[in-house]
Order: sequence, then structure tokens, then C-alpha cells
Amino acid sequence: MFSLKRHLLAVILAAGLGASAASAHAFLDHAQPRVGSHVKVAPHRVIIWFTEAVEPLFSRIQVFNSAGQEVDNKNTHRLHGKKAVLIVTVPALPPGRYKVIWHVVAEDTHKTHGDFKFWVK
Amino acid sequence: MNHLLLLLSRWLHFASALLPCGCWLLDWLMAPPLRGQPWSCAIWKRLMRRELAASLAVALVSGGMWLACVTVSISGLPAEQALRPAVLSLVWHHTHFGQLWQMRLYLWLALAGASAAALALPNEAIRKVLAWLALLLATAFAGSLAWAGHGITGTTPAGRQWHLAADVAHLAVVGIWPLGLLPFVLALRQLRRSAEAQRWRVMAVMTARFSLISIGAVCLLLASGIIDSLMLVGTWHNLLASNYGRLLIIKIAIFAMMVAIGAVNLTRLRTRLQRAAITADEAIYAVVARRLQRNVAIEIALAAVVLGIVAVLGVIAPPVH
Repeated sequence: MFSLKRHLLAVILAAGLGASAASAHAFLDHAQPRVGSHVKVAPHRVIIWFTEAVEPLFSRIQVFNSAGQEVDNKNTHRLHGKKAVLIVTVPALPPGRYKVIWHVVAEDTHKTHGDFKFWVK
Repeated sequence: MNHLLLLLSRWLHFASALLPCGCWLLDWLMAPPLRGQPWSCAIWKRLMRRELAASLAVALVSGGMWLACVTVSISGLPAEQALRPAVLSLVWHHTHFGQLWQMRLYLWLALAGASAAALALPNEAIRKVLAWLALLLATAFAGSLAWAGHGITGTTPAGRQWHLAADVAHLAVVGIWPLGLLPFVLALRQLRRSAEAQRWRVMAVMTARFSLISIGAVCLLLASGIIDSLMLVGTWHNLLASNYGRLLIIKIAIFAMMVAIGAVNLTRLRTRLQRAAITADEAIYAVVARRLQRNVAIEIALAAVVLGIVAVLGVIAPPVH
């Protein structure tokens, strides 16, 4: 009984002070081409779905080839009507390994970044 | 450096933006006994003027600081380049944060106008209407901070709505307790210093009212906090294993201390003050009032630490993210 009371008290206290000004951080939800995938047809664009809405003006997706050269068209923008989806177009990609690096600012101004690779066969 | 300034501006802005809401809620719920007589009414009005003027001025300056820090942070530029009009305009007009800050600036202007008019006009009927308007605007000004934080997160649209509602309620209630303790303790101090014979009776009634309001506020904080905790922490493991969770535990410990001090005020000092009101014992009055004032001052200091923790928690990714 004591343990139950103690747990209830802890839950109530945790709940009472749980509210805070913590904020959303946008992380990669999924991408196209998929993270770590091997694709037969070279993609014309890289699309990333984030876990939160992002600010397109202060967010960027870059695509690098295996030599470390940036190969995207430097035109990161939001998918029409989708606040949490960013796109960058790429020219026809020859077979090889590609690294995607993303830096985003969530709508609440928090910055996050990450990267993943995909292969064109 | 920018990070520290951001934390400082968040801390100052949270305290100053929530206080007007607390002031106007106390004006409605706690102040009627103070407004009952000309001398105590004058004390309350003077306090309200000072509190509102100071909090609104600090809210404006700290809001500007917050915007500047955000601009430097999200642009990735050095401060001298980021704070140029072109970059600031980009953030102000084309980001969610900038648009929110525009709306909050309009709310600030409306709140300052309504507050000044409510405190200046002698007509009681008009004052009441303006006081309600000021309360509404102050609640919107405080609650709108939810859109600058985790209130806009949630895994589903319904979850987001619940989260936002809980956050707005939480922010408005924090204005009354613990931030409302500041106008309360200043009113106590003014009453103690007054030479009026009725001052102890007014103090006893005011304290009894504030105690009831505090109980209600703590209950609302618990209810809104349950939703927030579920959204941001989720599990006991997250609470114990993450930096966010550990900081939250410190916040919980301080909250528990504040509730304990509030309980002493409620159960012991308030009762003694009411007993003294019956016997009209000046010596007991003075001792109890001094202790009450000291305890509330400690609660306010702890509340300042809690707000500091809130400012830090706001820049840490919650475990569920």
C-alpha cells in the first residue's frame, strides 16, 4: 500500500511539474530514396519527411557524391502544403554512393541535423 | 554567448509575460477586500500599476532579446551580420516564430492600453469591463507562449490540440501561482506598514482568499502537467535516464518544497491570522504576518529557480523526441 501511495505521489508530482517550455525538435522520419537503400533508377529529387514542421528558409538538404562533391541543385524547398517535408532536386545521378546531409530549423526555432547514405546501382 | 543570452531572455520573458495574467486574476479573485476601503484600494492600485508597468517593460525588452538570439541562432551568421534589418525582416515576416512575435506584439500593445485605462479610470463600471478585457488579453499574451514551445508538438492532430490546450492553461495558471505570490507579498508588506486599524482584518481575508486560489491553481497545474508529461517524457525510464528527465526531477523537488511551504502557510499561518483577527491581538498579528511574508519570499525565490530550469528545459530535446 505504501509503495502504491508513493508511486501515485511521484506521478502527481511529475505531472505537476512536467509542463515546461521544452520544445519540438525536427528529426528525420523517413526519406525518399530510403535511408541506406540501393536504388536501380536514379532519383530526380531527395525528399525528407521530418517529425515536426520546419522553416524552409533556414533549412537545407545537400547531396554529396563519393568524391565529396555537392551534386544537388541547391534549391531546398518545402513540399507544397506539407510543413514537415523538404525536397531538393538533383541532376541525373550516375551509379555510386551518395551522402545526404540535412540541417533544419523547426518551427519553434530549434536546430537539428543529420545524414544518411543511399546507393544508385 | 548567444546560448546564454537566449536562456536569460527566455527566463526573463517567461516571468514577465506570465505576471500580468496573475495580476489581473488576483485583481478579480483576491483584491475585492482590498478594494473595499479607499486606503486599501489605493495600496492595491499602486501595486498593480508598478507590477504591470515593470512586467510589461521587461516582457518587451526580453521578447526583443529572444527574437535577436533566435535570429542569430537560426541564421547561423555572426551576430553583427545576423542582426541586420534584412535578416531580422526575414525572420519577422517569413517564419512561424516571427509571425507569432508579431501577434504577441499586438497583444502586448492592447494589454498595456487596457491595463493603463483600467487603473486610471475612476468609473467602477467601466473599470470592471476594462479589467476583464485586460485579463483576457493578459491570458492570451501568456498563453501564446505555448506556440513558441512544445505546445505545438504531438504525434497526432488531436494530441497536438490537447497539448496546446494544456500548455495554455498551464502558462495562465503559473501567472497566478507561483508568480502571483509577488503581488501578494508586496500587498502584505504594504498592509503591515499601514497605520490603518483595519489592516489586519483585510490581511486575514486577503490571505484566506489567496490560499483558496493557490489550491485551485496547484490542482490545475497538476492536471495540465499530466498531459505535458505524457507528451514529453512518456515513461519512467525516460524520466530517469535522460538529461531532460533529470532536470525535470530537480524541478519536481523544488516544486515539492514550494507546495510544502504553501501548505504551512495554508494550515498554520492562515489559521493563526484568522484567530488573531478575532482577538485583535496586534503582537500576534505582527509575528504571523512577518512569518507569512518570509515564507512567501522563499517561495518566490524557489519559483525564480524553477523558471530558470524551464528556460533550460526549453532548449533540450525531450526524451520522446
